[in-house]
Amino acid sequence: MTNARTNGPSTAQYQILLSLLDGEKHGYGIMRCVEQLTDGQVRLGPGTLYGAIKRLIEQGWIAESDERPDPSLDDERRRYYVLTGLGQQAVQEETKRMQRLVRFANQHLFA
Amino acid sequence: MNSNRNRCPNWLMSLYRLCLRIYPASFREEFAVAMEQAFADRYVDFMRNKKTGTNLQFAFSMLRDTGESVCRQHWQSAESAGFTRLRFLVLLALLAPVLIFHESVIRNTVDGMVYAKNFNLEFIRAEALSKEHEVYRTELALELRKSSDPITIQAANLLERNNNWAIESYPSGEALREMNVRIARAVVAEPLQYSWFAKFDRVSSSEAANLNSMLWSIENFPELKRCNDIGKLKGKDVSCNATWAWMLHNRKYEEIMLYDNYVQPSSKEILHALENNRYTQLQNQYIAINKLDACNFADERRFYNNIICPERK
Repeated sequence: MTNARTNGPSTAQYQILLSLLDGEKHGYGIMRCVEQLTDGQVRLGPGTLYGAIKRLIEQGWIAESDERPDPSLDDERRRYYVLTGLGQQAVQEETKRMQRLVRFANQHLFA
Repeated sequence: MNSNRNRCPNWLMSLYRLCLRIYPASFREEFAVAMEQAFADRYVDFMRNKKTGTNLQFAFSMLRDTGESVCRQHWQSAESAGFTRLRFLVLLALLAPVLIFHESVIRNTVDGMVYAKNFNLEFIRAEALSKEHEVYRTELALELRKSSDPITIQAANLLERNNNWAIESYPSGEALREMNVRIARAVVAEPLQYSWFAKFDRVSSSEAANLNSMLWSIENFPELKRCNDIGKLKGKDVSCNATWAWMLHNRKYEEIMLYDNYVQPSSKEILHALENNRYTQLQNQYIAINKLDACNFADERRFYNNIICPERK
């Protein structure tokens, strides 16, 4: 589900997009990365994760990766996801939007 | 060894697979396998990092996640099928009365309507139909209300007030209605019987006696009339009361109904005793149960010898 007010990604989607910035990951890899990014505060369950992934694919922000690791090193049931150009753009825009908010907050809270 | 210990147990995996079936088919087809894998990975990680964690804790956390995402996915698939929020709101508005009056009100009202041929909506509305057991009061009161006799109306009013005929443990709907009809038959018997009934249905004895006396005086109430006839036949023999009281005590409403129709209100057991010459044993039993000074089956014996036996011959 996208952020209705901005047409940008929702919080969970944004976190997933961020987790894919440093390369493709499978579902559980994304879950762990999000957990690390948020200092363990956000633990996505499989339902939430794949619900968000479905939306991200529909938006064209991520895609399923064709490249698979060696099957002997990995479980073939795992699916890998990669950030698309559109996705990268969405992350940038959302980050800028958040930066503006942070700047505003800084000006008024800590000035 | 370690990896085996940390592997997701089969029962948990089966449970999760079962949960996955709740998702919309299209979503399930696309992601179910990957979700299973993520679930298993999550479990291993959970058990490794959280030393105090239990399978159940993990299952609950996953259940919450599944519940939320299932709702979301179904909503999204409904949306993509053209089910907009506006349509949802319209549907909700149409269903609101049903949702609000669901269960107690609707069901009891319908029961009342089905039972009472001369259904009086105003009367039903005047009732607080929030408890299942009020079906009884409704149907009985409706019967009484058919009359123009002031005593009958008074009894109906009394029934309206006596709302604590606790039969919460009884089944609802049609079964409850049937049960209530049986109870109604028992209610219109005699004071001692009714005092037992009152005791077990939490109606005060004075209310019970009052109601009972009123019911006795109502000639056009069919059940009462029938019971009156039975009463005339069997007189005031205490053994009848004791038997009925015992049956009420043991909630043997079936027998009451059955033997009521048989014009023999003293139950199957008395009949059985009469047939087998076991009066003394039965008398002692009832005396003990009901703490009676004495007990005899004079009326029953007379009835059995004069009516039942000749009929059978």
